[in-house]
Amino acid sequence: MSATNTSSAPAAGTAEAPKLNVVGRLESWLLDGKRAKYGTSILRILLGVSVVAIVATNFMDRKYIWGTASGWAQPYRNDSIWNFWLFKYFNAGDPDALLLAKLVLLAGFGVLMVLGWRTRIVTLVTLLMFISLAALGPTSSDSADNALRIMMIYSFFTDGSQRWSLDARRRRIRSEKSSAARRQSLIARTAAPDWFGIIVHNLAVVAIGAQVIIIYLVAGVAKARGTLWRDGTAIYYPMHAENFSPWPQLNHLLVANDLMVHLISWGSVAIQVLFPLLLLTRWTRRLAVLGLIAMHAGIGVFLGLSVFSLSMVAADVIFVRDSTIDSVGGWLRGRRKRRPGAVLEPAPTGTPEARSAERRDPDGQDPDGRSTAPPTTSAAMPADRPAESGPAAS
Amino acid sequence: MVRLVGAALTLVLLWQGLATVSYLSGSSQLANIAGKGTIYAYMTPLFKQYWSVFAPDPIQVDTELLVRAQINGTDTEWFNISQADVDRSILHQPVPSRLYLTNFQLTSHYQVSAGLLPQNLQNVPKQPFVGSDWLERMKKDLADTGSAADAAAVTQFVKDETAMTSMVSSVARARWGDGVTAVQFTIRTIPVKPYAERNNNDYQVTATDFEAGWRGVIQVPDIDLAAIEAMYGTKAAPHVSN
Repeated sequence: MSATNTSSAPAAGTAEAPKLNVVGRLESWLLDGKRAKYGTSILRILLGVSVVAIVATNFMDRKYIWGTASGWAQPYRNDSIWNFWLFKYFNAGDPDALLLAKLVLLAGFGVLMVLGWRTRIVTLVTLLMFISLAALGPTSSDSADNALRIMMIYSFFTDGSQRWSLDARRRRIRSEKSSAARRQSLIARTAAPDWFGIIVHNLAVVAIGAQVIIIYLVAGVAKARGTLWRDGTAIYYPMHAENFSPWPQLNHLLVANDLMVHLISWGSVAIQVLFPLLLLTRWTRRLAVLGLIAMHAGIGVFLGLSVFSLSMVAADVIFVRDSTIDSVGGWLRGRRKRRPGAVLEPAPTGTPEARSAERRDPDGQDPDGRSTAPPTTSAAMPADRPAESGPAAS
Repeated sequence: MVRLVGAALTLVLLWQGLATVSYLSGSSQLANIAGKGTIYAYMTPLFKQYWSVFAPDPIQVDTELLVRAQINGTDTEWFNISQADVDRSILHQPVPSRLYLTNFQLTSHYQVSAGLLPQNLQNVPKQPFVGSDWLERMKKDLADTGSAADAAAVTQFVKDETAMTSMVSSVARARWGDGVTAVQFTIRTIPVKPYAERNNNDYQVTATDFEAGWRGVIQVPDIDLAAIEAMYGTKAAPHVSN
């Protein structure tokens, strides 16, 4: 199923790999394995956190926004674009106890997303429940819900359970317990062939990346047309608006400095408009992703748009390569080992660590698909090069 | 087989990208590139999106919604709903709730639709309409429309007026009791001090008020007034403003 088979390219990592043409490289990127394993897993976790945050932060005001005290919004609900049976988990007529129970269940599904338990079906159910909740508050929904909804739809098509999930743990345990023959039989019994899952996952990763680029381009170009963004004073205004100031003194302190006002205003437009170009090389890509994460952290803290920021950070992470996260993980592990008193001996035979090392496959992955190869190796693999221009590259 | 499926799914992805770009382009030509209304129908509701937040220029005003009521022929003082919302849901909240957004968007919808009424009807929202049949009389006064666009603007305004008066009526009843016979609301716009004047302590911003006329009370069926009183009652929110 890999590009090795379909385009006659040699296996990844061999020194003599002939150079693939553009189609071959795209094919290799699409078919040779799931991309952005960490990115899609972080996306799944942060989307789950966002859902839990929405329930938790609106819990005290639930009756007015969605419940028994929200009947004034009925004129909007009557001709809502969401009037469809699939989005009727929450209902305007629900008594408070029922609304409460449904909200707790939605938060529970958010937690399951974070934990990565039966990820795909849980993502779908959470998505439908969340859409239903957002539809119930016609004037309580904004771009934050759009971002969360669209990213959840794309996330459903990815395999977001590959890292830091109960699904991965279950697969690992099952793999450890079953014989090789039984593993083959389990694989043969799956509904769709592996290559289909890989293609769908990788195209969903591209869709997430493309959506993020579109969001930043549209937002950046729209801002570039405004006089206040062009003269570098735009950010001063929302920082002084009451509804965007959870911490007014902090906001005023931040924009008390002229240089800061201009830097933030121009920087916000520049990084959004130039985002697609910044993706073209490794270091500018890292700069862009870090810059956008910092920008959204600022929007979350200073302007109080936390859920929107979290959803966008979740999507931004799709541009971070697995090898980069492996490198950061390796660096952190190295620091931990260098700490005084750290044990440096190899794990004894029979421990989970040792078993994991024994189970490494030639591509440096364990049965969960986790990379066990040294972090720097994957970044240097020629077959990884096409990924640099894809969304899962940083 | 693998290539065929890969190519087919890639085409689906390309369509998704094309539809998204066309939908967001702001150009009616691009938006109808696949046939009139096709892309809009495909994108709505699941992929409905809007990303021009703070664009082309960011928000430069605070918008406040104030309400007062008539009880036994006496007017109450104004109550600043927006200030109560800021205090309850935004100030010193690391993750603000949607309470402020809920009322802010309702207010924005009203402002926009009142502004889009045909020129000869612009004054109607400022007129008083009281009594049990006030909404029907208001609809009659708004009936003199010329084009289909004007008729659509009136329909939208009536929807926003109904929702807004339902909301302020519920707040008024929760705050001042069931003796409320009429309600009135004001939308106050307070500009942020201009950047050029930020260090000028003598500079005073000037607020502008859109004062709707008095309205008859809308009794929303089965609405939980106790819950609203817990948020906007005199004990929970002792704000007074004028």
